[in-house]
Amino acid sequence: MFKSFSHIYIEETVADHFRTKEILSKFPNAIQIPIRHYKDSFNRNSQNFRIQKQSPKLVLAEKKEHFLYPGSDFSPNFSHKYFYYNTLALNCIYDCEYCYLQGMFPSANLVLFVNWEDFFTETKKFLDNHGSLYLALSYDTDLLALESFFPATKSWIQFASTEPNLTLEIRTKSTNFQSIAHLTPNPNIILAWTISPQIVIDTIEHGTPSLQARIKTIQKTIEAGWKVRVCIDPVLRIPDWKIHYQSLAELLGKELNPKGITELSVGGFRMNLDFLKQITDKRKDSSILFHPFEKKDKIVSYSKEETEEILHVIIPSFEKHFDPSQINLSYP
Amino acid sequence: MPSLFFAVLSEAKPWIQKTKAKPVHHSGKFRIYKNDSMYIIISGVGKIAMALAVSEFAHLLPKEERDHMKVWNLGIVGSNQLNWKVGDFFWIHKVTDYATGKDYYPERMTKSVFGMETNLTTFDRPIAKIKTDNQFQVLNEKDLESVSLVDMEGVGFFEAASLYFPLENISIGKVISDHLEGNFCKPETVESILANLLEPLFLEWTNPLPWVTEDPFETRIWPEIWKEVKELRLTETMKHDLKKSLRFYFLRYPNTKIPMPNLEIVPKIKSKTEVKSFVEEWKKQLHV
Repeated sequence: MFKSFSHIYIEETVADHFRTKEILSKFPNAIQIPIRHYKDSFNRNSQNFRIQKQSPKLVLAEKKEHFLYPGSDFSPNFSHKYFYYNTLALNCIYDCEYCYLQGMFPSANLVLFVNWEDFFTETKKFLDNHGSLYLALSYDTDLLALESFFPATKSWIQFASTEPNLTLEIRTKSTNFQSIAHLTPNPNIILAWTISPQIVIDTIEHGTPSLQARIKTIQKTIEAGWKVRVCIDPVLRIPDWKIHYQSLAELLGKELNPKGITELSVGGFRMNLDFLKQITDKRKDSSILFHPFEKKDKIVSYSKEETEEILHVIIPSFEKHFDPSQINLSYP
Repeated sequence: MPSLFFAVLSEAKPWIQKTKAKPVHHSGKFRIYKNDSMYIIISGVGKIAMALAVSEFAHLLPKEERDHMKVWNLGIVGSNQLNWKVGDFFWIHKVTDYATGKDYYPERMTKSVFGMETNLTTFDRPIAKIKTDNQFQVLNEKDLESVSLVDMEGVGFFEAASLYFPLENISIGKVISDHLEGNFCKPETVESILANLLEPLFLEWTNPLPWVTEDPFETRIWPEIWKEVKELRLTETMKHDLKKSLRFYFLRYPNTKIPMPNLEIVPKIKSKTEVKSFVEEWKKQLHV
């Protein structure tokens, strides 16, 4: 669960917004600070992401433009012609050592945009103009983890029920499925869980739910009739990684109904070179970030040999339990 | 080592007496006091004087020291809030430069025994609610609405400090000395107001920043290794890559001795090709 926030910065234009008031009511002890624009606080120079992550603050703001962004090359488009993402929130309450947000944003504070209706309007416009849209909803954040005070996932699921040409992917590590469990499953919505061996969760994915809790949540989601994607992504070459990922495949095969899984998405660690530089400048305690990566076109990733070895180990392990057609490479 | 900025000597006096800090002899304009573990700086009145004092002080220190330094500004302020008393202390989470309308946000990262926070507006002249013989700038009702605390240095301190110090290390704390009646405070009153806060604030000031921790690789392991291989005359890129690889091994196998090449051959390595091959072989051992 999220920690409480000691301070909440509030853009003046959304101070009276009903959603701002709802969020503020969840944090009665937080000190409220009016600001003109969230960037005045969020984009300051000389901020230290690592230090702020120890006591992140909340920022409530209005998104005024860029309601849809074209999908990143680092993310799979799952064969959709129009692959876009939106940013209802910036930053995440979890603290995964491999997370690109540490290098992308100058601040670790959590920005929540409260004007969802504008996002809906722009999405509808896009659908009217292009006919279809595959929209990743939880891209620069983990929305489901915020659901108890920022119930965007629920609203977007309800919005999608009125837009048959909209496909949503909601990716998460959260076990907060109960907050949306009452909604009717929609075949155009993919609930995607990132899964890692427990050792990775314990040592690298700080603050995230345990593997068992995630598996239990996934199984519940399958039973409720939702489309579920399981993402083994990023695969990390930690010591004894082969054993850990093979055990993970065994565990998933044993505890999940394979037929309920729409897709298993597998990908090795990769990141924008500049982001990695930013991160390693501040975070010098994470071995996975100091791996001797291969650099190509401003992207760092495991070497070709290392990637082939990962696929050689992972794919057969999962093929023991899942149909090969279910397994997709998100980034080779 | 923390540093503390005041506008005037009467604000600083209780702290100088408590810390037994002595004036630093330097070629600069501003008065800097120092003992073995802290600095106290007196800027004079006004945001420009304060910004210059921060800048002059910062230039006396190497960046590594500044990065680990807690840097505070304390001082007296006038208050527009009648329900707040003289002597009440506030941490500042927003500073506005009245002249430019620009806002700054000192971010509170650590807990304090002083729980009250508010915003501060920095003016270029002393402020009063009513006209007096002292020719203070008189604010009308409308201007006063947005004002909580007023001073003449806060914005200069924060803007300058944020150029030289990590934002998270910077704090501003202000204590109410008047309610904008239009009178100057006597130095002994100022001294007494600051002295009343000294003990609890001193403890917080001298507590180390919780996020400044030792990186044993940087402070111990790498210097020792570098001493052994310095004469290889590595290029900056090679040095950087080797250091990265050594850190990778150190983090991945924290309980294992870092593999070292045969250092006896180091003095015999002369050509660039030999250096390159020596480093590459070593890196292979580190990337297991």
